[in-house]
Amino acid sequence: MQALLGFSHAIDVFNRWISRVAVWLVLLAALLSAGNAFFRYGIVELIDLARKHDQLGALQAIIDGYGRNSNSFLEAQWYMFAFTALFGAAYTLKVNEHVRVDLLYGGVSERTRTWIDLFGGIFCLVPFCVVMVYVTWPWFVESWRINEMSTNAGGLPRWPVKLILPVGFGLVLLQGISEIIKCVAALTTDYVREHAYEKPLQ
Amino acid sequence: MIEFVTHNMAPLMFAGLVFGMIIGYPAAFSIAAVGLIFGFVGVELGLIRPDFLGNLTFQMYAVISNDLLLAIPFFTLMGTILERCGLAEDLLEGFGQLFGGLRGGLSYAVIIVGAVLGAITGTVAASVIAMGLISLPVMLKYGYSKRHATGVIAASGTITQLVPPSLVLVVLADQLGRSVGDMYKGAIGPSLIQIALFMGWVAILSVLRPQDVPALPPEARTLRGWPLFWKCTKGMVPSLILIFLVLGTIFMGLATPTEAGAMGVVGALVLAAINRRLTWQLLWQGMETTMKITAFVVFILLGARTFSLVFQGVGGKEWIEGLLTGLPGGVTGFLIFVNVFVFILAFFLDFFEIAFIIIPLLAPVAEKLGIDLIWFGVLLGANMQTSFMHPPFGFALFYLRGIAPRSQVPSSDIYWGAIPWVVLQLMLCAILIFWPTSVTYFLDKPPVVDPKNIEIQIPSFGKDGGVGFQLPPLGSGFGQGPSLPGFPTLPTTGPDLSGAATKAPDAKPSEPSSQTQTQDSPKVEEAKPEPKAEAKPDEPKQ
Repeated sequence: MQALLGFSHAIDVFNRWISRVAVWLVLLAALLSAGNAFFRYGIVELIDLARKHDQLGALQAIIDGYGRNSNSFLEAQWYMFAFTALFGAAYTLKVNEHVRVDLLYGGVSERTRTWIDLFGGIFCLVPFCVVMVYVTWPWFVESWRINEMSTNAGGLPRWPVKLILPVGFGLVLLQGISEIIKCVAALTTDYVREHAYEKPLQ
Repeated sequence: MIEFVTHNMAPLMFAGLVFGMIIGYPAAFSIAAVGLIFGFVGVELGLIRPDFLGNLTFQMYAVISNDLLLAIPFFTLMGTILERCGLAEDLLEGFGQLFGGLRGGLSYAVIIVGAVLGAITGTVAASVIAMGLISLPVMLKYGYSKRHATGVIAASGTITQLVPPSLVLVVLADQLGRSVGDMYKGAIGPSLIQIALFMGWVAILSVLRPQDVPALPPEARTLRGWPLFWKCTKGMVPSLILIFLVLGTIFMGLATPTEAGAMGVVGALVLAAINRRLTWQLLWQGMETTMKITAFVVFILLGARTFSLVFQGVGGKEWIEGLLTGLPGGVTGFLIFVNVFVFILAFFLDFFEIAFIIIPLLAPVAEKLGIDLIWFGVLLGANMQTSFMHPPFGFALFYLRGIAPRSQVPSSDIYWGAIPWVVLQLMLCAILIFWPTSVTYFLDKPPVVDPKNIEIQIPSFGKDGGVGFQLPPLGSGFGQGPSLPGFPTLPTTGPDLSGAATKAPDAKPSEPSSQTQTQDSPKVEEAKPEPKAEAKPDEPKQ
């Protein structure tokens, strides 16, 4: 049991680390999106201004640069969103903040909750994640093989965002295994689960 | 037995959904598991084609590539920053002093500030927590009844979710396949009615039970004349700027709701910095909360899509339609049923669960009955306000419980205090059902600006043709179309305006991108070999 708990702890630490990336991406995505909007509408004014003062040359490079890459910037927004959600999901599971219907769960003992989490983990989470990894992985492989690009001019390669699906589900699967280990430990030994259930805030 | 199962897959699956959710395992995984189990049974019985798993991949991809859902992290992050950036304090102190002399003056101030905060941010927590921290102590100190004080704060905070730019309306727009801009316009009328109802209730109270809502004594009103004016200005000016930044840009068609949310984040950060409230801890907490909410929302949506894909496949849509179109009273009967249904469900389900699991079941029926989906969405948004106010699980009450001192305010007062306001919210629903014009009034007058159709092209720049300046796809996300359950949503990344330019005429026919993708599954545009970057400069389309 100790070895298993050690394994579970390793998963927790790893997913905690991954989740930091997800947290940063929240802010980055917001700044990038705001920047896109500002630049897109500011640029019309800039062009006018430059025309008036005959300074087109200086601006041309900037505008061209943005024009060529604008689709990349836009796509980067939702890439970051996808990464936030899928990198963050495992940690969210660890801190027990995936939303539940607590009609029954809220009223039963900690031991019953542990049983619910154990069965849910084995019969819901693990199969779902395994199936998802199984069906999304070939999709990524294909995208990687043909070096698939966005259909938007100057867009990003598609494989990273297709890779994130199997990876994200894989991380949740790992975390699910970690939680199952903790449930078994809590039921058979005097191990106490760390994150008691609380109604999530939104 | 097998025959029974074959003929009753949809009701059985619905029962499975109820069971899966009620056991209390995180809904995202339990509904997905229900979907998968029935999916495999359905394949065995020959009800579903075995390639449904291939479609599942598209569904997952459609969820994460949906630009509109980006509004969720952005609005949440903006809310968590605004909560503590000092804006609500300036507003409440200013308006509290301004109206303080009236009976019920502090309540009016809370309602107005709730509406103003609602027009800036899209999340309930920010408003309730900020107002509860600031106004509740003042109201209690000057003898407002506890029930009234907690009730008015919870209700005015909850109004955030009806007043544009509300996150709830973004999600509903996505699920109903309507434009967010229209949804926001439709919500203007109901928001005004709701504010009027709240104010009217305070006015009635100040006549019937003046002891509950006393006027502030003169010595409590320290600000007068210019200092008072300055205080109100200090609250209102940044508010108006933020409202313009977020709501104004959406209505003017300058920004997508997603971008507006992002600009709101920047605005809130700047405001917090000006007020010297911006700390690393504040920012990190906000980002972490946002990350967790984003993750669980996306997973609920992934689970719900898995469920609805199979549910659709086994004829669930027809089953629900058969049940609901037969209701007595036609459209009105259906709407009343839906409202009662959602009102009851909201006791147990989170808003996101209702939006992602229940709404896709109801929307096709509403459409079939000829109900305007904007009206339907706003009505549901108004109804789901109550889910924040129900004792004992309502989020608004929950937040208020978190910040009100237990010694002063017992939970029972918070619960009882909420009830008149829930009734007022239900009155709004009734008004909307019987007077649809209150929603459509703001829609029909001006030509409807549908962000889907906004197509701004900047002409090629420079005399020699230069490099065409390519506008990014404005409406990405909107284009995901009606998210009908199980409808294989095309995993395109938004209607790319550039499409015309990038698809070279000699583009090869799409090749199947993997084993799981079958001939009749939706074509994946991405699978086409990309005519690379030297695409011709965009011709100005206008």
